[in-house]
Amino acid sequence: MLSHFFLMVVYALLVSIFFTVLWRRDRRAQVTLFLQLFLGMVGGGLIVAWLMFPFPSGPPAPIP
Amino acid sequence: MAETDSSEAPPAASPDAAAAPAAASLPAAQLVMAVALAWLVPGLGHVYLKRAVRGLIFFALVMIALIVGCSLQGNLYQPIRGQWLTYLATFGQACAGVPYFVMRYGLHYEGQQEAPGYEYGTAFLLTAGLMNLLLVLDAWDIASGQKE
Repeated sequence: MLSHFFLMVVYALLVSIFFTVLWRRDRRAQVTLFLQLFLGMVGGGLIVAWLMFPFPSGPPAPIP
Repeated sequence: MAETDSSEAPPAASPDAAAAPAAASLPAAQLVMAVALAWLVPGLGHVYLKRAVRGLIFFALVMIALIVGCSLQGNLYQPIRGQWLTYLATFGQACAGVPYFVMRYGLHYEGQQEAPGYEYGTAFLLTAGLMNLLLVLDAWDIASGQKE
């Protein structure tokens, strides 16, 4: 359940709802802004992940 | 005191309506009270300013971010001498108000660096504090009449 993708979606959901309620009053404008923010964050994350795919991850960093 | 948010909607629903000058400024004492309440408890400043629904939504969002951050064992920063970014991070998290101090001094929560969700949890905890900082500024704008 606690996958990277799940946590990214939860984070995007929280932040999108927050800024939607903070910045917009009209319901239609709220829906538009929410979709822009949410899809922008999740889609942007997926695109960055896809671009990073060819690069090797290397050995795990030591825990200090 | 509180009324629903249904009366808050501007008659002409433009996307930038929230940024338009809306009302007269409140007296200084009420302005300070709104800002102080907004910092102490997420969303309480909006409830004080008769934006109850919005305030409850903000309270829920900040608390969810804090709870998720804690459940992932994210870092609750404290200032470390010589590491100036820890001062900035501590300030950011302390902007969450009373919940931050309850976690720090009441529950003695610190986070666990070895936990698999440590980095994500830290991001959630920082975000909760910074969201409340924006709520404090929003309460200031509403109380000073710069925003509806």
